[in-house]
Amino acid sequence: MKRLFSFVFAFLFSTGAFSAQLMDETTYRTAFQERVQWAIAQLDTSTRANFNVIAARYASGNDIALADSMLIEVLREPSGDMFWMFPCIGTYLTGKDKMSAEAKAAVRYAWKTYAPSRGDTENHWAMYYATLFLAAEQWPDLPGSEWYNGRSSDENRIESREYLFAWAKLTTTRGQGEFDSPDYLAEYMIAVALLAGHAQDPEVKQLGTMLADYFLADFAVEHLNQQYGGGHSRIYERNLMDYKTSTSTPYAYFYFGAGDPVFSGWILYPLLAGYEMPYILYLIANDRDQPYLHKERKRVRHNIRYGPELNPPVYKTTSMTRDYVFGSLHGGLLQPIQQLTWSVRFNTGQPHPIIFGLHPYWSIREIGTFFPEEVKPSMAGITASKATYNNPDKWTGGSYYEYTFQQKNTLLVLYDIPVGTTSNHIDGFFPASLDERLIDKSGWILCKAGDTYVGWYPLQPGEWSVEYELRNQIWNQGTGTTESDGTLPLRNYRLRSWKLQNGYVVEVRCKDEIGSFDKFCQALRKRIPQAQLQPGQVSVSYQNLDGERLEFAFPDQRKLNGKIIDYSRFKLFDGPFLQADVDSQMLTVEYKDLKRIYNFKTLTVTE
Amino acid sequence: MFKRSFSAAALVLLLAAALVAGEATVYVTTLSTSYTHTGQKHSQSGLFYRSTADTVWSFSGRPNNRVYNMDRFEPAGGRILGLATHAGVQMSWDGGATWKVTSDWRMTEVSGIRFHPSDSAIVYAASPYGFYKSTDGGHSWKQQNNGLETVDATFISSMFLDSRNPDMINISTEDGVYRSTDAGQSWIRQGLNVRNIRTLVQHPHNPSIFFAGTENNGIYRSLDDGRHWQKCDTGILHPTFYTIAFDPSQPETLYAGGFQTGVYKSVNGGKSWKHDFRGLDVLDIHALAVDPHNSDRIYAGTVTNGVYLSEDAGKTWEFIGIDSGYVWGLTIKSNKE
Repeated sequence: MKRLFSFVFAFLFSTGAFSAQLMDETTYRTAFQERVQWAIAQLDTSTRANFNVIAARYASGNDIALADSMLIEVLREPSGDMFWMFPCIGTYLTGKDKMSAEAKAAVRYAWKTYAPSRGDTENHWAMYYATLFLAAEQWPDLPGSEWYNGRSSDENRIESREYLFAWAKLTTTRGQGEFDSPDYLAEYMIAVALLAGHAQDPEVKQLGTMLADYFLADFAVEHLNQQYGGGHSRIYERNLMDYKTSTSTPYAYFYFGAGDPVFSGWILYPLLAGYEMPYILYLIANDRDQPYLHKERKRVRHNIRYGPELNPPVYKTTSMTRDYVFGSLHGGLLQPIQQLTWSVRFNTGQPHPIIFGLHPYWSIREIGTFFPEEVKPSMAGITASKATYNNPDKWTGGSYYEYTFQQKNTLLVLYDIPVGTTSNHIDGFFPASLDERLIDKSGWILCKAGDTYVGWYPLQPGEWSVEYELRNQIWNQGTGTTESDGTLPLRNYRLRSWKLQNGYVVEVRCKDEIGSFDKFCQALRKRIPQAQLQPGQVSVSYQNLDGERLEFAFPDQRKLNGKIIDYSRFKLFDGPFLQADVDSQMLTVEYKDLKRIYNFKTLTVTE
Repeated sequence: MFKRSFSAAALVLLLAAALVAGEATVYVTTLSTSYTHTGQKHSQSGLFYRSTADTVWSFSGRPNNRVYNMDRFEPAGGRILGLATHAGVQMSWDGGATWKVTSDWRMTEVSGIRFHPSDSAIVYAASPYGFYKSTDGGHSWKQQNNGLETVDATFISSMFLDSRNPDMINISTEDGVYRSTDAGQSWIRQGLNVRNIRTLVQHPHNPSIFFAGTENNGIYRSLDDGRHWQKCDTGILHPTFYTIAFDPSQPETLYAGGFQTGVYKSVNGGKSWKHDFRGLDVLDIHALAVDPHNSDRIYAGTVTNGVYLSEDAGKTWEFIGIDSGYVWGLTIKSNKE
């Protein structure tokens, strides 16, 4: 009965919270704690032996003897590298005061004998070093023979600490490398929230807390009703379409209190660590009464060869309203394999509420830029874990031959693709759930999704195809026409153009901004972009709905009303809610009369 | 063809046994033994070894290990070993019974390691982020990239210490060939105007002769310590070479392998080449080594299927184990004084 009440309580506080009446802090905190209890209740009666269940049982105290036996069982054959490290130490720290000596010994033995890989991505290292730090604190003064890597407790603790501070400095001076990822936010949050909750070293505990706030602040400003908007460093294809399956979505529900309940076993670790988000971020994540423009600077993952510098900058622009979030990266290949350069997401509650475009590029040059192995035999290894990487129909990935220019809610995208490049086409995604998708005589494709209107003007001819998507279907494989239960599958639309010198203009407005859809269409029909599309000379000139003249020449000559736009002046964060200068190690968070200043040099937060 | 795991104490005995049972020990380093990625359950990967007289591979170190290369400090009789690994440098001072990661987070994806031939305190390591030196036997490391000015120049694919003077170190990089004459303190680009160098080796008998294997540009040879280079492409049908190995017993014989190449052989010092692949199920060759005591016995490490052996100087090949192994390095160390 108590659990049913908890669920209903959480549900009531989640629905209707978005862009409506915002809760006061006390109510928000109470609702958050109810959600925490609801999360524990999802797993603490399960008999399935895995770390999440065991952690939930330790948290609630439900049959500790069973939890102990399950823990000993799951520790018999460890695997998963840092994806083993974080649930192992998270579970241990949740239950260590309750578990048996035998269970404790099993955990200790695993950290002596199982050698997890450190991995090669920023999220791998965050998880690896955060959890190794916590483990080294738990078992101090042990010699190297008691650890999987031969290093003593002190050596492991000191190295982990050094890395965590160096990483934090890089992140707060040059931006995150694996940035704004709906599918990897969870990995970062788990790492830093575990530090926030469990580190004994007060400076590391404070660093973990500040970084957890930092990452959630980064998410909050691009958050629209559980969706992570704008351009992303990494996203999986399925989650690109279905945001409910991204690991950031439970954070939107649990921490922002947004949308319907969404649960993930991994969310338990930050929750059980006791990390609580500052109330100001709840307000920023949910108040969409006023539209705003937000800009960011991130950095590219290490370019270990073929590039002029190790970590080139990434420039982001995001336009937010209550109805849509429309954002982009400046273009080029900024992250391997899973980049999403731009998108517009709608707050409609419909399936696949997104429109985006891409050049579905792949190459051994891309792989070699980021990975040290031999490039020519590398494709098989990449596709073993990212199956659609070399599929010309894929829906994620960056390209050296794609660049953007976004001015508020107008976006210009240009392509100059050399002959022989993979692929020799560009694609646009239009979901079945659009209310309207009109191919207008003017050349504009005019779309309506709830109160959001999208105009897409292709600079070259293209062809439409319909793609049927069955539930649980692997993307781009098979084209079934009915579900097993006889229902019709979703139909999405692909706009493909085979011209190598190419591009499009995208205008997005909502009812609040322009009125009716018909008015939006009428306005666009009068605005036809002028393009030059020759190899090596690709450019477009366009006067947008706000009367601004945008001129864009591939790859990076951008002019607004005749004035050159200099992206190199972008700050780390620049919007109404977040401000941070490059190299500052500072972050200012503001909402109306509330303000928090994060100083990562002094590890202090002032209000 | 079995892989064996042993207790630490047993390993010491087994390694010693391996050393005395044959004339040489073959060390194989693998990045993986299947297409796995971080977070998955891994097959056993890392350092494999066996005597040239043996038919069974043994394994040393952590099982979940991505190892590029290894080296052995010869004066210590096989007790001091170093591994260049994805997670940094791993050292053993007891013949492989126990291992320690001796580098920290500043070193990653270390692809090469070399001991000074006579001073166990001096160890060098190479990575995609540059060159490193240890002056305390591999316990700590310092980056030395003076002269390696670009991202491509710091991406080091191979190195060797000049057999005439170990303070003269040569490295191949994505930017070309570099040389240090001061034990790695500074670097100067050499005369090969080709990028994406994958391997660089020195002739065992005539130390002025260098060979370089490249990505997309075949094989080059220098007769004057790397100052001038000529392409050696007579008989070469493929562009990309990852490995070049000399027959220590026959000065004019050398082997080369790379992407889709099978194994090339030259019997005239690289002037012309002929390739053979009979028995090779996989043509991507990343490592080659010749038994120093038997010129007919050649080992080939492949990118996707372990190790092959030729007992007839490269004419035919036979699979000899490490299923699905992505072999990066293959080293034969003589057990004779």
